[in-house]
Amino acid sequence: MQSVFERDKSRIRLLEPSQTKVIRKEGGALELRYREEVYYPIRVKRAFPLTNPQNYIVFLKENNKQIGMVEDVNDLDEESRKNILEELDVVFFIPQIKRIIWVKERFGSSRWKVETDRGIKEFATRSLHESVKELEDGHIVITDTEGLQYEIKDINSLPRKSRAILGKIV
Amino acid sequence: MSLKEELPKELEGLLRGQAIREEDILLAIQSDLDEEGKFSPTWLIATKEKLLIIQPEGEPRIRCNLSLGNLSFFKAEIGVGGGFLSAYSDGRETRLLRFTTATARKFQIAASALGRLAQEGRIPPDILAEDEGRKVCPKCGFPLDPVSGICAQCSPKGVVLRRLLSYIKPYYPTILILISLLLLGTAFQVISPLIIRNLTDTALVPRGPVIPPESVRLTLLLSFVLLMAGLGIGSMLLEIFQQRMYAFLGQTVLFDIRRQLFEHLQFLSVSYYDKRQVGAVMSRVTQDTSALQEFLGWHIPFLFSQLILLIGISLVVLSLNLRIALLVLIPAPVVAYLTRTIGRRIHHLFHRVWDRWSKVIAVLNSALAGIRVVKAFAQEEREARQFSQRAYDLTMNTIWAEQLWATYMPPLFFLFGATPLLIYYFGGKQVIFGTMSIGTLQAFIAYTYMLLGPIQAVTRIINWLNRALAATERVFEILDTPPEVLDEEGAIPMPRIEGRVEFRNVTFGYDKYAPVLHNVSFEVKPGEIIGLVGRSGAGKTTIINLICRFYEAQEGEVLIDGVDIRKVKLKDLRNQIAIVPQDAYVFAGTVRENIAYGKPDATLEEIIEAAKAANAHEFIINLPYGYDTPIGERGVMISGGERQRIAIARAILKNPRILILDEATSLVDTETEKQIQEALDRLMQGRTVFAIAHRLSTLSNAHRLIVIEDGRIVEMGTHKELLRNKGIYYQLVKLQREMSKLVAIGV
Ligand SMILES: Nc1ncnc2c1ncn2[C@@H]1O[C@H](COP(=O)(O)OP(=O)(O)OP(=O)(O)O)[C@@H](O)[C@H]1O
Ligand SMILES: [Mg+2]
Repeated sequence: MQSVFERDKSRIRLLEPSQTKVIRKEGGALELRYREEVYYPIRVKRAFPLTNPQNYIVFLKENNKQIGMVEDVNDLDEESRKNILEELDVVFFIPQIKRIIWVKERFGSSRWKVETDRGIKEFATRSLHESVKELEDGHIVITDTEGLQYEIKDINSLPRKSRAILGKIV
Repeated sequence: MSLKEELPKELEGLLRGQAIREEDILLAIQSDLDEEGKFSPTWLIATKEKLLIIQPEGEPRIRCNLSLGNLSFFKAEIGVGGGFLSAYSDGRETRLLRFTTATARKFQIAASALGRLAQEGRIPPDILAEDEGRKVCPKCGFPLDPVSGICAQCSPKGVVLRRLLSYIKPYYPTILILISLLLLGTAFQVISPLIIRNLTDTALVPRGPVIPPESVRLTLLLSFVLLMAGLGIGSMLLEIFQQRMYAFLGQTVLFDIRRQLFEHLQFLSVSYYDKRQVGAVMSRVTQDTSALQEFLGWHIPFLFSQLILLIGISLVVLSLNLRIALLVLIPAPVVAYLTRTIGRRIHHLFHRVWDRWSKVIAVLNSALAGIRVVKAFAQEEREARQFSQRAYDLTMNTIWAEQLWATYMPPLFFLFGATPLLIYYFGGKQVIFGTMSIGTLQAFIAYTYMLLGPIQAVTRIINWLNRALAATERVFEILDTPPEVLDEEGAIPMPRIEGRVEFRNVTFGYDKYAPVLHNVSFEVKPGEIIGLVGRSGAGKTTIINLICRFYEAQEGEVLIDGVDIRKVKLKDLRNQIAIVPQDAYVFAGTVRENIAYGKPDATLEEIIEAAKAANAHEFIINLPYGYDTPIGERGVMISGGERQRIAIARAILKNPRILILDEATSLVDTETEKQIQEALDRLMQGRTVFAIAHRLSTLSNAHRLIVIEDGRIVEMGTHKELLRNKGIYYQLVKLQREMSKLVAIGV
């Protein structure tokens, strides 16, 4: 279907990737340089964190007013890209489960011990059907009692034993 | 929550190296992430002068050492799953540490505590006054009940159970009778195999040297049959009595709990409902109370009777024949264990079926409720496809569960039947060798079957108990929440409020660490009409909420006629305030009942007057049953603007001293609005009115306007003054292109 919007970069303020630089300043906060404009400190957000994590990265001023967006983080130079992804990792923290060590169940609640890309972690979940969501085939997101989410991008990439444990409960 | 957590021993040396003594530490909290975002602790420690970030893992090291004096404020930024704490000083941001959402709350509070520490040199004690939001049981690691904060497994069951039993206290005499009937019934049950034994051994196949003549045996047969008939009739009568009494007892207790619960719910504060979903609270009144009734009125008597039966059977079989008795009793635990394990497995599967069911229902619900949107966007096929996908999933899971059921159940029943086989063999041997009579063997077989009931009861008892206790705790959580503080000691009665309203440096947040109103001050004279203006989310409704005392200010005070609102008798206050809320609500009931809600004894004329003033009379008359037309849920559909007008009529009829209109006419056309306003002008003479509106023309009759931005008052004055100032209000007016019109009215 034809879009009603002409490709109008100014309307949603898409920044020209070649003119966009993101620098990490002393103290750890980021600075955005776009053409002649300089913004510091800034915040970065994803517009589609689950479905398109690399696209439409939004830059905000410290008071949450939008500065602009880049369409694809990969269009930026290596340093800016790295800085942005590091920053997003802080405010969009979803450990990836690599292995399930054990799961214990009781009255519908569960305790888990898993190995993630952030290290070993134990957590608890309430009723499974509320806390374990299958986004699409084999892509699972588990939410623990603290509201922290753990992701399994592809269930088939887990070791066999983990798959067996998971298969028994979901 | 404590902002001073216990430091691990390894850090002591490090702190000593910095010349920091234990008593210098004002704040010490642990985050669960390190710099790289790995699950590993990081400490934030503050003294009067310094701020340290310490990484204790491996070789403990100080990652960051800052002087507090140079920092002006702190902020915890929270995203999804994680966040960070930053310090700011003249435009510079310094990242302190990372955390996950599990500890985010702590750092949010720490940010405000550190800010105060940097400015005032101390952390005010009230900043810590929040209870710990524990989510999992510290003992077993399993989640706590989200509402009551109690662990179903580890919490002492005795207390809750005793409290639950207190509900049946008034019915002790009934219960006593029930228990006697129960004992009697059990006795009947236990006796009947014995009668069969005697019937067999004396009348059917008597043994011994002298066999009685047939006539005697016939008489015996008849009398045993009659006896059994008598027992049967007796049991039946007992059953009828018992069931009737259970029904009575269970339902009366249920009614008691429900009524008490609902009454209590009505008196809880508005903020109680902010934190909970209506559905969740509703299910306490409906489902949880039913669970209690089921437990009290059905499970307890059942368990009790099964226990008595178990004892009775054991006593009888042990006295009959010790060796065979052991054969009856010993397999029981094994059968119980197997039943439980298989039962769990199957329960699991059926739970999954139930889950798929709710997914099907969700599609059904959203597609049917949104049928107009579905059709408008021509998405019928997509919805149908989605439904069929979910339905197929449900079907497959159901098939699976039922097949498993079909596979597991027959072996289980075979097992149930296997114990009698043992009895047949070993008991039969004794019969053949003459050490046991046929009658006794028969009795044993009967007892083995009879034991299945108590065995199953035992397998379920834990489940039932836990379910009931969870429900009980949820119900008690509500009953234990203190009701809205109606009146403080020495509350001042105010039979007639003049209508002076004053805010003095009011700071308020629904969450006290995130203020929504900042230092708001204003004064309103009796009879003044005040317009509140500001962007969506600015805090207009919040100001109204404070005037109604739905919430209380954290700092500063709200005064009514010069008296702190907390000291005014709540009933007097609410009786003289009427509010037309942003989302006008109509109850299920007639138009008349809805209008007279705040004044049930209003005369018909008053009701019509009020409706007229709200410009509602005409549309009401055109409803099929006029003022008696049912509206609200299941009633006649009325439009948004009509609903608003009924809410206005309700407020006017209450004849309040202070009237609050929160976007009260946002959904009616300008012409109707003008008519309502004229009527209000007339009726509201001498009353204080607060009106909120985004359509600024609505506020044209306001004496003064208060402009709010981000929870602060930015402008205040008459319409003319504000226009002359060319400030925010001026901009707003210009934007709305009402300029010419309003200037014409104003100038
Ligand atoms: N019950 C609540 N619990 C927590 N936060 C709330 C609650 N009600 C409102 N807020 C928040 O408080 C802020 C002010 O809300 P308020 O309802 O006072 O705005 P408003 O000026 O009436 O806006 P609108 O014009 O959209 O009605 C908003 O940021 C809102 O998200
Ligand atoms: Mg509002």
